[in-house]
Amino acid sequence: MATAAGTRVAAPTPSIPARLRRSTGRFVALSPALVWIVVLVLLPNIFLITYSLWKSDVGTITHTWNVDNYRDLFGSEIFQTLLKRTLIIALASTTLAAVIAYPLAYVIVTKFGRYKTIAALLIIIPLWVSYLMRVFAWKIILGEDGVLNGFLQSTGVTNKPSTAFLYSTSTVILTLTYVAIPYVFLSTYTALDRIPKHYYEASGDCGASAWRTFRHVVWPLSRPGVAVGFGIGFVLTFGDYVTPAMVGGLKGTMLGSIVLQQFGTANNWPQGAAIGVTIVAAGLLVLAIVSLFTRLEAQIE
Amino acid sequence: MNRSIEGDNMQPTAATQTSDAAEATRPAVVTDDDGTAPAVVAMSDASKLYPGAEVPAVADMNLSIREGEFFSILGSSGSGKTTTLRMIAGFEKPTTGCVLLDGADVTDVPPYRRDVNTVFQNYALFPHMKVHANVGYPLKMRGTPKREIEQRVGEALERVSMTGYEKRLPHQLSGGQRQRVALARALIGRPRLLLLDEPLGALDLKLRESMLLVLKHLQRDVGITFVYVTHDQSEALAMSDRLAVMNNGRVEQLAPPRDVYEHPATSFVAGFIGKTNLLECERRAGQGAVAGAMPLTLSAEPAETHFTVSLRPESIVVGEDSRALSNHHVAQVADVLFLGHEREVIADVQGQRLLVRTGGLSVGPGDSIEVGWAPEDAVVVKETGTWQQQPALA
Repeated sequence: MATAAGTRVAAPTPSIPARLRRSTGRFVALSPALVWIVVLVLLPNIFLITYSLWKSDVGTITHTWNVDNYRDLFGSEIFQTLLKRTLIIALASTTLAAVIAYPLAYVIVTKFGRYKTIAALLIIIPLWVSYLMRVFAWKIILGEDGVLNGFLQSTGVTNKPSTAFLYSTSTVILTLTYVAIPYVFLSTYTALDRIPKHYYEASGDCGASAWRTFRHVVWPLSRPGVAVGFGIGFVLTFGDYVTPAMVGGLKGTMLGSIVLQQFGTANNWPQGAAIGVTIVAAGLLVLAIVSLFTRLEAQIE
Repeated sequence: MNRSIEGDNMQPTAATQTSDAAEATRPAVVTDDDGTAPAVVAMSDASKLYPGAEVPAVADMNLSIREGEFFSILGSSGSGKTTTLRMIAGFEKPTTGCVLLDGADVTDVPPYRRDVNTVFQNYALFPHMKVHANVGYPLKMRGTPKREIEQRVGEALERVSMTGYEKRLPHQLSGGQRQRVALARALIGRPRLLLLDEPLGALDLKLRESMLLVLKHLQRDVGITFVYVTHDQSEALAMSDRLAVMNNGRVEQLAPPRDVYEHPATSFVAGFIGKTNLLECERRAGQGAVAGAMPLTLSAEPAETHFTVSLRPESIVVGEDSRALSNHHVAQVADVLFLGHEREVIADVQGQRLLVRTGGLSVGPGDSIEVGWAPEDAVVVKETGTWQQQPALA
């Protein structure tokens, strides 16, 4: 607050310079966050949107404003197929991840007692390994001379290596599910761990079976955590291009791959930017829906 | 109150004996007792040893709580009182022994199938449910029709004076209000037994006093058996029909409050309930004994050569009136504590320190006062150690 000589008399309202100084102080305190948002969030998106409204003339960008890129995109059947596929893949793999991660977190929180932290750590450990390595591991498992084929042949289920496991939509879903699990798990685990044991007991005391306790108490209190985890998982899988490139083949191609292509080999930045904006918009739309489930009008003691 | 209830039975009747008399119908409040009252809840040799612990939290618990009774379990933290309660509720399973509700063995029955409700120490109201949903929860779990739930929630809230708060969330209520809602939730299903785990622990003194009355009246109105766990001796004395004093996982005494206060069975009980002078005595001829160098006369010949006597400060008469009593001494005042409504004086009788209450009499350190007491006021107690927080007076 004001410490200047002029404000020695206790005034009911601070003088204008004092108020100004205070708001300056607040601005200084906030500035790292502001710089972060402007430089890393706002500017790149403004660039992206600006580029998407320009035009590429065989690699040369002409600065004339138009929406041709978007018109081309939504007129293109390939783009529509890809957008649909990308949405389905991202939603499917994140949903699968949530379906796997939630029971996992529930069992760990409720049954593992003092070992729960160790158990949770074991699930999150894959995050310490490089993303590329994790995706590549699936290539090793599912490939033509991979672990799965080797196992099936040695047990006599098949007599020659199958190529069905790799390079398909389901391979991408499988791999992305695996990628998303730790994130969804972490968020779900935190939410479940925050629910005190006496809520379970109080519910049981009121005559609720374990299932009804889950339905009426545990699920409503942990749902926001699941929604947040789902959001993170979705953002992560929706914009991914590494996984489809490595295990997806032609049928596993996603929008991210096209963006990469437009910015790279095709050298059509405006077109790539338009796809990028579409991805961001679609992602935001899904997140907006998900965020409806993150609201919880309660305070856990 | 229940003066005819047999007083200091250290080993209360086992449940197996009382369960066969369950056909006797009884009024809501126990007014007489002939040992045949049906036990709403009984524990038979129940022990609880937590994994990893060396000493059992509760050891060989035998309890028998009667219909309509306000029963308190009193003890300091770690005495096993909450574990006892949790075994009755079903949250903990006894390591050995069994728990009986209405004569039926429920040791392996999960909490949700027991006709017992608990008021938790921290209330445990579901934070995402409004007050009406919290209170109606037990009925909803039973499949009660919606209209009936609504009506009974209204009644239950009215009973705890919380009408009008139906649409609030728990975090929008004060501690005392949450307490009332928790009570309403626990009572709405009309359980056979209501367990209260230090329900007033989180409230401030004034609120606690008014809630004590609320609880007492509520119990009288609904006629449900209450088992009340507390570490506060004044709460237990004020509320209970009978109380069990626990120490180190065992019941030291089980009796009506007055008996516990006036005839403590052990030195722990004497020290834990109210203030007392614990005198280590040595037997002399006849009914005589000495505590240090101070001679005293007892009402009966002591059984052992070395024993402990509990003498309440308020039984000690100060001044000229004490001359007529068979224990009469001149004491030196060592210390005076002014407590407002009275003075507590630590007096020295030939090296033996005594805590005395002088009422309005004004004395200072170094003064001589006359003290005396009747022989029957010095109660011989079993030596079981003293409560740590009791100031060392002996």
